[in-house]
Amino acid sequence: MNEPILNLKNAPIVEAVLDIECDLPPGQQLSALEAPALEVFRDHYSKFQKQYLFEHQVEHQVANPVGEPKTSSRSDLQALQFLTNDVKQLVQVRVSGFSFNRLSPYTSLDEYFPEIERTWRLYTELASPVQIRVIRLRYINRILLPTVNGIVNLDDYFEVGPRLPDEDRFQFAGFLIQNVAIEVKTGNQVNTILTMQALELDKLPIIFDNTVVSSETDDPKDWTKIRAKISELRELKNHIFRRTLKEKCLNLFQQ
Amino acid sequence: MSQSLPTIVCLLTLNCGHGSAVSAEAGVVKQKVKYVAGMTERSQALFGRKAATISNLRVLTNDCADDDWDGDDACAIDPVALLNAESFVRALPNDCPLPECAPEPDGSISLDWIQSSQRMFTMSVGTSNRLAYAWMDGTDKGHAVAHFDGSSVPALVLETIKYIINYGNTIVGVA
Repeated sequence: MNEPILNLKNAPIVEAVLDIECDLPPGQQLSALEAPALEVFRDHYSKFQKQYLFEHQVEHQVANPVGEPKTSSRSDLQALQFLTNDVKQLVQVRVSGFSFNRLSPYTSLDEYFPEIERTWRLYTELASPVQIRVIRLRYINRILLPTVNGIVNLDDYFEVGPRLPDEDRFQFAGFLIQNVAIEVKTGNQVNTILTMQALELDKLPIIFDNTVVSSETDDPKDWTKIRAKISELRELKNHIFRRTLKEKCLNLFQQ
Repeated sequence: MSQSLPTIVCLLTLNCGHGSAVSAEAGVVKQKVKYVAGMTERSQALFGRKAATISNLRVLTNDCADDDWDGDDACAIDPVALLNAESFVRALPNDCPLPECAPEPDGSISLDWIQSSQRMFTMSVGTSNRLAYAWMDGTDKGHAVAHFDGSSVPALVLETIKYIINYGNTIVGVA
């Protein structure tokens, strides 16, 4: 049975990303999609930018160590990004699929579903994906923990927290915990990362990156099935969220 | 005896983003994970064999960095093909035999697992996420195209490599 959806007054989500990775028609060039993509997305997404993989090469001749090195640069287009005017929401046409990003303030996935469906349908008309390979739901949370004299007991806030070999002798200066797991029943993959940032006044920022992935292939035209898969992933990531944070941590988001 | 001196090539690759996520926090996560991965790759025990293969790939790319490297109008190896080939090598299980590498005239890189002249697996890694591969086992042959997500080796590809190289005890049937 699904757990009830958490209703948090101030959810710590700083970004939610839905990626749908696809098999695209062989030989399709992302640059060729730029003009038609601008045409279909610009009414709701007034800002446009491109994401590149940039490469700079420096060649240095050993035979002539004092000579000028030969340099060259090249860049490869990775994504066409269409952003709303307030830059809080974007749709991406990427070399390997589609993404929908929602930045803070985030309300509820239910609220974004109609726009995800609309933009996904536009994308399928544009890029003609042959098959869905992966559906990935990623929620990046930033949690500000209150400290006393710069110290906080992480065990008060996290069920699955970092450990030191000698808690009396050491204090954390940083940590990164990554867990990758498979949900036995469905085969869905879970990838969580917990890490900290530098202290901000009397608050310790913790980043909790919660990603769930389905690698079942799907028909790009079957939105009903895609939506059901996203909902399944949503339930999974909510379950992980609850099981990672303690009540005291959840209470921080009700203030 | 004359000997050509090597050219040192430094490749600086900047992915101007954080996967498909765009927030600053996504950047922090990426940076930290990259640091941990970088530390692992500096360990000879954990990554030595793969590091050697990746080094070979870079030397190869350097040697074939200009068009017509074969005197027969071949294209220079594309740096994106190099990045894809490196990712593929990184993604191989640690106990999997590592490939030999060779340049291809279209600017791709060939990764080859050669058991004998009659038993081999070869894969062409280019600029896209589609990997064309072929295998030969005596008179049996096959070829296919697989999707590579940049971090995990497609299951069928791995099974076929295992089968051809006789590593592990895997029995597979390939259509």
